[in-house]
Amino acid sequence: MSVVVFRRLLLDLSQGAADPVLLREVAALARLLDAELHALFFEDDTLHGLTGLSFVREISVLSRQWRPLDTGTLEAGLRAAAERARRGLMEVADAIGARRRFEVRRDGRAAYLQAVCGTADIMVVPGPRHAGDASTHGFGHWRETARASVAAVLFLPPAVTRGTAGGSVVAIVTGPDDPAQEVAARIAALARVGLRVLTMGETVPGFAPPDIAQGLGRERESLIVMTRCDDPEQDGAALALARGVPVLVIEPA
Amino acid sequence: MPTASPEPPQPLPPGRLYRVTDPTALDFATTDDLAALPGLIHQPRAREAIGLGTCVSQPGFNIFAMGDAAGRVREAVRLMLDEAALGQPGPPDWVYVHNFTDPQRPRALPLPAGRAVPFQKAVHDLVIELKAALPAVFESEDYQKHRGAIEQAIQARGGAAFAALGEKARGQNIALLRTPSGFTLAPMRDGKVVPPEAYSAWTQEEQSTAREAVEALEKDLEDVLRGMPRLEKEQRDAVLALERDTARLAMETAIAAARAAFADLPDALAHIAAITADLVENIALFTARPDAAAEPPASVRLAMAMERYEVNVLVSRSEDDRDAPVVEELLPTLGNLVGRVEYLQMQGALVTNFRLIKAGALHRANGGTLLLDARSLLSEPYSWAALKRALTRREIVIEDVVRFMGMATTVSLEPDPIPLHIKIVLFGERSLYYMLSGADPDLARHFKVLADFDDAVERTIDGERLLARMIATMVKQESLRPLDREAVGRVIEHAARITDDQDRLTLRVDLIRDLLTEVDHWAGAAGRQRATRADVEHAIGQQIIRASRVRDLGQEMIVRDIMLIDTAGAAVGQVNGLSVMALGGFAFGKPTRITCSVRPGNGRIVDIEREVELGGPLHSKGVLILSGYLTARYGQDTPLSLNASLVFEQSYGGVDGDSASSTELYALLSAISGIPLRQEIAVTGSVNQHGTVQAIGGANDKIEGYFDICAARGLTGTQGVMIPASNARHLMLRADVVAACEAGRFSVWPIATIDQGIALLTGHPAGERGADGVYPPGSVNRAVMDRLEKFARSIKDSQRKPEDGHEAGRS
Repeated sequence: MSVVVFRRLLLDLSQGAADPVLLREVAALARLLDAELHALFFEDDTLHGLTGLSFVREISVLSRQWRPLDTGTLEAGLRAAAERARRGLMEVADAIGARRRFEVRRDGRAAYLQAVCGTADIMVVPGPRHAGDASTHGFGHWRETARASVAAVLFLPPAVTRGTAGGSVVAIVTGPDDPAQEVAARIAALARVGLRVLTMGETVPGFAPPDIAQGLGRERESLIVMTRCDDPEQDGAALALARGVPVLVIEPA
Repeated sequence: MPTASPEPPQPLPPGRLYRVTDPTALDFATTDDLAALPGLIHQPRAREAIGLGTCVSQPGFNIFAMGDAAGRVREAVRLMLDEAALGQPGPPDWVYVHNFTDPQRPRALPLPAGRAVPFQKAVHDLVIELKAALPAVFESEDYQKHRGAIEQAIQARGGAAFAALGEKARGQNIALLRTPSGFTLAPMRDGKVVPPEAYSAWTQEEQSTAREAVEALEKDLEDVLRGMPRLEKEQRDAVLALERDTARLAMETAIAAARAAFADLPDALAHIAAITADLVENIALFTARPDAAAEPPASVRLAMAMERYEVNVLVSRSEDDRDAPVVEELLPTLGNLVGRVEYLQMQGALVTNFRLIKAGALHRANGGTLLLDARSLLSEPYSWAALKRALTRREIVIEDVVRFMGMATTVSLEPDPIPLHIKIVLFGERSLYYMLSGADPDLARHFKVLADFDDAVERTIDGERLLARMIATMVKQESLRPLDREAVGRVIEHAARITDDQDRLTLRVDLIRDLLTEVDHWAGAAGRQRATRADVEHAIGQQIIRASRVRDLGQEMIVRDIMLIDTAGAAVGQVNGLSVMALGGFAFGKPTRITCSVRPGNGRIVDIEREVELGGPLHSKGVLILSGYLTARYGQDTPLSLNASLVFEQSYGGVDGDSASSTELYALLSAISGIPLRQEIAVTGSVNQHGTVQAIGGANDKIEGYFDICAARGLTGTQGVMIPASNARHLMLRADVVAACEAGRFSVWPIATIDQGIALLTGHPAGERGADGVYPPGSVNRAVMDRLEKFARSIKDSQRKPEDGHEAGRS
């Protein structure tokens, strides 16, 4: 059985600066794995195109006021958003000591990721930060791209609601050969925390969050590691949302 | 017929020059044989006063204990107060706690004695327990499940609204898009947003339909966004309610345990309830995760925020210490007296909280007695005024003088005042008390009880025994070598010398203790295990040597005839007076030549010292008495017709006191009569208008000062000192002076009247006025009368000559 060694965590910050707590979780994992945290900010070409339509305008989430979507305002907004994302990443990564890189790209998200993603990568998928995010055009692109790639995927909850420090690493496996167990054990050893293995069909009946909760009992976890299964509804996002901790989904062996 | 003149007095016998200690008082071998004698000894007046002061609890009955032996007074009062405090109910403990409704005004809580520390520990343990328990509860599956359900339900409602909008938009081929700061809507075809150039290619109708759809959906989007704050608030409120309920449940057991221990203390229970209410509102303080990446100030701020649940024990009593406190504050600064609020520096700012409130001496002594040195108290700025304010208000208010004076604008605290029930005992010298009572009427209002300590005790056998035991007590307290009985006897004699009185013994323990310490040193240096009389003599001699440089310089100047003092021969209108100089606690006698000149005049005696403003009022009074004496003695029939001038020769400093008035009178009588005075005799003593010589101070120092000069030039056997007879009982002269007197080489004469003195000084009888009103021939008084009559005639002649001339002119 080959050992998966992760060299890079890819994180899309285009939907706004990530929650600092979540960003710290990601940076801490990057440092633990001695991997580079590569943050990307994609400027949406679609938005640039809309500035040519005179009747299209945007409404601010904060002020709830409408204003024209002109090129200057849009570009300034994108620059400011990119800068916020960059600064947030730098502060967190430098404080933790993780290697980091920040890059702004002009769309071409899917093509770019298809070109650069490999098995040594982990694509980080944040949860929606605003109730409306999930309903917007193109929101699921990153998630779909991640799901389609050969890279592992780290699903983040919208917010970390429980303290993860000192919590054990939980591996949800289908059997002793499941690569999730080896990855979870390695991370637990590096983090010097406990390892808990839940075997499907034995200690837990299924991947559904209630099943996992039943299997964990009162134990506090800091990370869940599982292997990708065929059911797209059980890709880890729902589990991350339910448990409030990151879920790392790796490719089958 | 003239009456007989009094005989010249005889010198005092050696036995009256020094009183040795009664051997029957020394019925022991060494001080080890004597029992210690602690406490307030032989002070019935002060004891009564302190007893009154400690028993009367009404305001103002504080005690001012005054006496020159401040150290002994303090020790004695302390012992007496300690005894009085035994069995008296102790005061409550006091703690300061956070005021949750007004943080700038920390609350003061009284707790029964000994309960403050347990209360502090109980609250601290409660907080520690909650810090451990609450995060676990809030990370528990149950809580997360509830919270997740609330958040998901409300987020789902928000998401559903957006989802419905998105669905509706997609049905009209409109895309909902995220912009950097919000949302926008754009026409879509085949699932893709239409670029501007494609849109331009649309028909007018298609464009119009799309625009209208966007405009309609904009209103929906606006409505959805406007509904979000309400949902967010709903979510916050629901989560907050869950947090509170969870916290209450989680804290229930721990709070109940803390309350049970203090069920009898309503104040403590009320504070625990306040803590509970605040905890529920600020549960995030307990659930905040330790965050290594957080900046240090944030973590410090969090720690400081947690401090509000702690208890600051201001004053507490131990289990074994339940009597009323007796506290002494040696440095009564304002802060040390009324307490203070301290500050911490944080990022360039000064911050504080109720835990930085520090107790003052008034807090520690509250319910008991506070002992203060009056001089120290008055030396500290604002302390005396603050003490008076506290006594007037009957409460302790922590005052920050820096703020009052506007020297700092830092936000500070105004802690609750604490009720004050205290007895203050001030110590001080008499002069300080009288000065303060004259300057500050509040002294009498706040210190109604005066405990006046005697500085000396009568020298009876019991008095000597008492002092011997005090000496033994000090020897034991200071772990000194024991003194044998002869050494104790010498210390007792020295105690009499300190008082300048054969019949009194000083109670200045500080001076005796210092001497004993030095005695111990010299005994040790001599290799003795017990101190002897020789060690005491040596120690006293060394004390004098260390302090006598100025005295020796003065004596050297006299011996070298720079300062002119004759110790042999005779001279008219010239006599040796004696004065005392005190420098740094060391006093010594110094001879001074006093001269007088006379001439016919109008009866005025000129005091040169007074004319040049070197003479003090008492000295001037003495000189004016001389006029009274002359008038009474010689001017009853005819007015005095002389002018006289008196001067202290080679005196360049101030002169005060009337102890030289008899000396000046002898010089005046000699100058008038023309009869010379013996220069080997020095004189001291004041005189009244009737010629009675009166007692003066410093007799021992004066005699020894003149003796030293004579001894340096060689004792002749005719030298000596005339002292007032009433000063004879004060003599405790040095051994060498007594020895010289015993050998007939020096004399001390007790003089009762001017007639006695002038006879001794001139070798002529003074002379008593006969029945015919005339003094006998050959007497001093006769010579004085004759000269005064001569002056009178001279004046009369000088007044008649112009008259005669006038008459001649007329004729």
